[in-house]
Amino acid sequence: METVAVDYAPRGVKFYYIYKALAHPENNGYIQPFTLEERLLHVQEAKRTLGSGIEWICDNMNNGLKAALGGAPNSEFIIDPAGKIIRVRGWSNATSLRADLESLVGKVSPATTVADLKMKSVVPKRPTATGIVPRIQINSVMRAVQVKPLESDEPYYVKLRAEVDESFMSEGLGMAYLGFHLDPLLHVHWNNLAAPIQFRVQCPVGITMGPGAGRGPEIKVEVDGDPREFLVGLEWDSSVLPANRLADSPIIIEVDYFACHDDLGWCKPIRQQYEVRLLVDRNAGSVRGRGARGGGRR
Amino acid sequence: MFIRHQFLLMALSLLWALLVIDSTPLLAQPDGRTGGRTGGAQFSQVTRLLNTALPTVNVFDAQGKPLSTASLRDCYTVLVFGCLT
Repeated sequence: METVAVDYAPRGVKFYYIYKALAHPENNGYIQPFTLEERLLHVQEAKRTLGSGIEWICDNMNNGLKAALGGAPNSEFIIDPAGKIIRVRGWSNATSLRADLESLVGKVSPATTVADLKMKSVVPKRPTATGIVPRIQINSVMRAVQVKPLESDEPYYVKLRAEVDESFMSEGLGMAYLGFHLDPLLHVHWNNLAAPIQFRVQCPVGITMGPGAGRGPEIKVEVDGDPREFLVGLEWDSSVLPANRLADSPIIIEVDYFACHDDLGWCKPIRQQYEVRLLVDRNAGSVRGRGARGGGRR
Repeated sequence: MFIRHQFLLMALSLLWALLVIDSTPLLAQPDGRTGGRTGGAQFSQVTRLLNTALPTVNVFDAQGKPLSTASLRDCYTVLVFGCLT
């Protein structure tokens, strides 16, 4: 798309990337932001690492634009001057886009090539050692469920991702994945000299999660950036808690952890809470390569 | 207590089938990769937008300033969705 933009921006065509929820959390260590400010940090990181000259638009935190435009992760649209969508593509394709613009605006010759651009992409930073705490290995297909952070005076340096397995999906009895991931864009790391992360679960009547509390492992090295992951049993009795009440019956998860920020020179205990609803989160993305060193693909 | 009834299982199965109806197809994607949850259903949701008006949605520019998609007019405009991953 960069080469097409270079050729057609001078012809009056405007180009925008729309930043949306992550398609594959954990790739390069990135995890879903909770707030608009955090999503804007992602935009800045995308600009920094991709070396793109194209402007970014940031979708709202309800993922409203993504939903309004079909929900696909890498779709492409051409809008005409009257505001009508005149070309759509489920997956962006620079060759097809160039052909579209040739027919609409005229051919640019010679066309700019990727080599002409000499784009400088930057490797994402991973400020803290990873690959120290073994990742959980999951063989089942997992599906992310809705996680809502409750109000906190502190940013969510550690973010919870919750998923449920196939067995729970089909039988109401299975396993849940609770992964507490450091947000690499907030530049903190675990303090392994302090007590490990701990969480407690409070379930509504009709849902059982066991164990109802957990504690992370004792780690021999002082700091690391690996996620702290737990697999817990999960049962839902729909005769007690009907499906139409799931949205109003969150599981409350409270977590305590110590985080350190080297640049700002602090290290402190933090307590935060989440509401977890056993409803599919269609914007949570899918994790690929969980269990790879450092988490996700690189 | 872990109690299971056949009827309950059927009801749960049906409910989850509805909840995750778009979740299971691990379809090949246009670049040849597999996995993910974007399949033909989502692509058809995209293609049905052809020749319709760009929906008006309030979003933000890269600095966080509010922006309406209604402002993306008056010239040919290319929009491409993307993210860090």
